[in-house]
Amino acid sequence: MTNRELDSLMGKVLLDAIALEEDSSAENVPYTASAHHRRQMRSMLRNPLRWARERSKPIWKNVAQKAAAILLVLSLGLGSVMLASPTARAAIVRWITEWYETHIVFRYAGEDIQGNLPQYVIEELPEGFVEDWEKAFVGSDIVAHYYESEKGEAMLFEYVRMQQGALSSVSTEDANAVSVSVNGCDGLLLIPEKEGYNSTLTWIDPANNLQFTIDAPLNEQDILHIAQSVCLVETTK
Amino acid sequence: MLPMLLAMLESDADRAIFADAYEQYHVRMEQAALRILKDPHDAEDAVENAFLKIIHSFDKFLEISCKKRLFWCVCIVKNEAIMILRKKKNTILLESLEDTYDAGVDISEGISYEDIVRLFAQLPETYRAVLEMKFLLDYTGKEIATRLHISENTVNVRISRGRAMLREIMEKEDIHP
Repeated sequence: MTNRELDSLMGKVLLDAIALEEDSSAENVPYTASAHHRRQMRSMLRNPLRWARERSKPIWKNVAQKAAAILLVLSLGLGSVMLASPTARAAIVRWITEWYETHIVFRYAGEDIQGNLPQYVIEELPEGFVEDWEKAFVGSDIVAHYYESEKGEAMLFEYVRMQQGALSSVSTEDANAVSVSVNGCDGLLLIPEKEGYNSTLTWIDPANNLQFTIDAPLNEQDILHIAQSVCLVETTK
Repeated sequence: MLPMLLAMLESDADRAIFADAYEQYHVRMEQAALRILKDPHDAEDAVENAFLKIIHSFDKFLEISCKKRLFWCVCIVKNEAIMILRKKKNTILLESLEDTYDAGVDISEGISYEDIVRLFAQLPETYRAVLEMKFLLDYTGKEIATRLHISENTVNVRISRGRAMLREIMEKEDIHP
């Protein structure tokens, strides 16, 4: 018997051993699937490949992609903004909102702002979420905080400085956009069309030249509630 | 490599096979995970990881005869459950006991193919896990070592013992698959 034949036989024996064990197992453990698991399985059956790709990526990468995109575009100068959008050259506005098929871009024009970003926190975190400080990012023009629940659900809270030449974007793919107000500031809520995906809420605070974004596995009411609990911790000197 | 394998699940026909497999097997897979882990939350993790593996190895899934696909899926979920268990518990004592396990077998009397199957079914769970990962799930020795938190040397020893045991029986009894 060659090694290959032996290995093939080994596979057959092992599979039959599992069958023997399964057929003789009478124990039936009482079990009801959790809501989270049911959502995952529904999402998997709708599109196995997409589900597998999403799940194969570390969770923090999924939510941190947006932060990374904002970081990248923050490095663009005014010239790039003008090249990309002639309207930016003509309009004297604080920001321009551009709607595309799959995303929305916010472009900012105005003064360069120096100094550290003020610190904001979510006072009322959703139950079970704790911050993973190792994945937090604090830059001169962007701050991102990452939270994770016991179930492995991820949430991102970030804010960026609106200043000359900066821009940010949010994805609108497979989501419905709804205009909202967060503590008197205009915002946009993106509600996923499919279960198992995060909602995204972004709002602009013109008084402080900041754009806030929360990406979380929450419904409309809950994500608005935590957005309204965002408060200033320490102002820059 | 991965995108090519995943491409197999892009057709409606493949998706239908996958959905059908889920409907037929998920309860047995959940039960297999629950028996090992006892905790529903951990069992759900094991089941989700198992389906991820099935999607990634869908070509292999299609190669297996319909009658045995359930057991291949159960094999995956059991091994995912064992991995979760080993992450959560300190199994050093169990490990050392397993290494002293004598995989040899008394074959002085006649032994049939069914006896061999029963013999392998009685191997300690994590000993069998090494063999299943190698011969049914196509993991490398290094991957098995990482997943089971054991040394690569231990993995290789178990694979060699398993092979030697099976070869000895087959040759002495002149059994042909």
